[in-house]
Amino acid sequence: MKTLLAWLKNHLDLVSGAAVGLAGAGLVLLGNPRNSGICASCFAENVAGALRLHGDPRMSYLRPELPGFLVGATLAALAGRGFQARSGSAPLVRFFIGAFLIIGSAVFLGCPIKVMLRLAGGDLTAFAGLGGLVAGAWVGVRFLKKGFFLGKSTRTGALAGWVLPGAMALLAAASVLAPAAFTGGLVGAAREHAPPLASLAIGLVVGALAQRSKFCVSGSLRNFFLTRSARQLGGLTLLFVAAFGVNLAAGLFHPGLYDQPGSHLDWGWSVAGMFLVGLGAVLIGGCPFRQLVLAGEGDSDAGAAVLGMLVAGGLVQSWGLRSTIAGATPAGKLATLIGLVLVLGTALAYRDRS
Amino acid sequence: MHDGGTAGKRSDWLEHAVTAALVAAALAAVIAAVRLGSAAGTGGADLGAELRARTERRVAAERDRIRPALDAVARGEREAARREAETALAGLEGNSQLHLLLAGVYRDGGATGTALREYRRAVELLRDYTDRRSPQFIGAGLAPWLREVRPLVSGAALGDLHYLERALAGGCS
Repeated sequence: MKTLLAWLKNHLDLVSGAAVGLAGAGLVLLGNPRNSGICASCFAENVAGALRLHGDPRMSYLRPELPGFLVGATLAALAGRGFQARSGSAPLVRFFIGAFLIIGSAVFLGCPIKVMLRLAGGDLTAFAGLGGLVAGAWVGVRFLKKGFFLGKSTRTGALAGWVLPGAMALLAAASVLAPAAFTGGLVGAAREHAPPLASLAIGLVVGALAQRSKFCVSGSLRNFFLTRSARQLGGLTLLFVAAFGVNLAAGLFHPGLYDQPGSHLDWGWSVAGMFLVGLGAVLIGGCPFRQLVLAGEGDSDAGAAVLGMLVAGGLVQSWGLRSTIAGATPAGKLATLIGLVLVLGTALAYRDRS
Repeated sequence: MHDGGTAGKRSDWLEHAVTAALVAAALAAVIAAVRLGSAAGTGGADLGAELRARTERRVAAERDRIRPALDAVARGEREAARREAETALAGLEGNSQLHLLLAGVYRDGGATGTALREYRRAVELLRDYTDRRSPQFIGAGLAPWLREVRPLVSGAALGDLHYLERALAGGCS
């Protein structure tokens, strides 16, 4: 038993990957939309809607998982003495890149975790997103190797570190206690949700595990490209295997191209959207899910990225910077191109020129 | 304060606890103020109710204009229904019910491609048609028909068919 516990402790990234896969597929069985058990970008859009940052009730629901991830990370960081208020590493740049992570995800229709969940559900169109994500992460690593650095964060007063954990704790409480008039979730995709308490509990556990293991989909790709060690892809592989296993057992694995839930056939824009996400995520140290976890540890720079994500969660709906099942909207395409130019410009501006 | 001593650690924890409580209290006050303002203002508390009310108002306003087409369908006069619906559509392009009605008329008449186009237009206008939990869900009758006609269509009609299949599959979008 001791040996098993020690092994698990030494392989927390694998445990986290499996936990995210199980939770992602399990939350669908509990009521979340198909292939969207966990999706940081969908959740950001849903929470933005519940906070009235956009007016589409079909995408408005205070999903308990999102504050759960962040508060779970806070609790784990406090327990492990890892909570530290810190800031000062280009927070505004991170705000905008955080926003573009959501825009890129909305054009593909899912965050990097959902890429894996869509594949595990048999959605073959997600290969385009995976290709874009891998390519974006590879380019991001090229910039890291050329000395890209957003600046050092330094320890700061506790208040800065507690703003987002405090806000998310309130949202977590509201997500299970407030009436539906506040939380939303009344029509369309927003109505598809697991029982709020179960969602919150799963969010807390997944957030805590991710904090201890530093698990992140784009982080795994970044580490693989940096070290060329296949071991870095272990968590990612287990995420897919766990979700695939649950889907297979539950009869939710339906391989195909044309009839997949929450997908479209604009392959090029799927690649471009996830390229933007992969690149941006490597530059700011993690995908949308990882930003939530970092913000939970007291990192206000990641907190700025999370705020950017929430603002973008409103904009992708109200300005139409996204895709529908018919394909990428003109505004979504334009926003992706602008995002690519700005994020690549940032990468060039912050590279080591010495 | 950060010297690592016991007193320092206690002070750190105290600072964290007090700050967390202050932040939570401040944010609770902000949220309460926003909610009170919202309740007192436009009545935007229930987005679902708002949407339903808006839809009902529009449907009531348009009912008289689409009634001749509906009556023709009820009488089983397919050609008259198509004529009435297309006439009404000239001023009500965004009316999902008319597109759905036309889809049914074309489907019964064997015009599969046109029926698929009209079904797609109806669903684009009102996603409730493919929402399993909506009383307006049409998937129970539509899904088997899509399977039946899939081998028979190509080109734009096949694109419309795939769109409808994705809409019926649900998901978060």
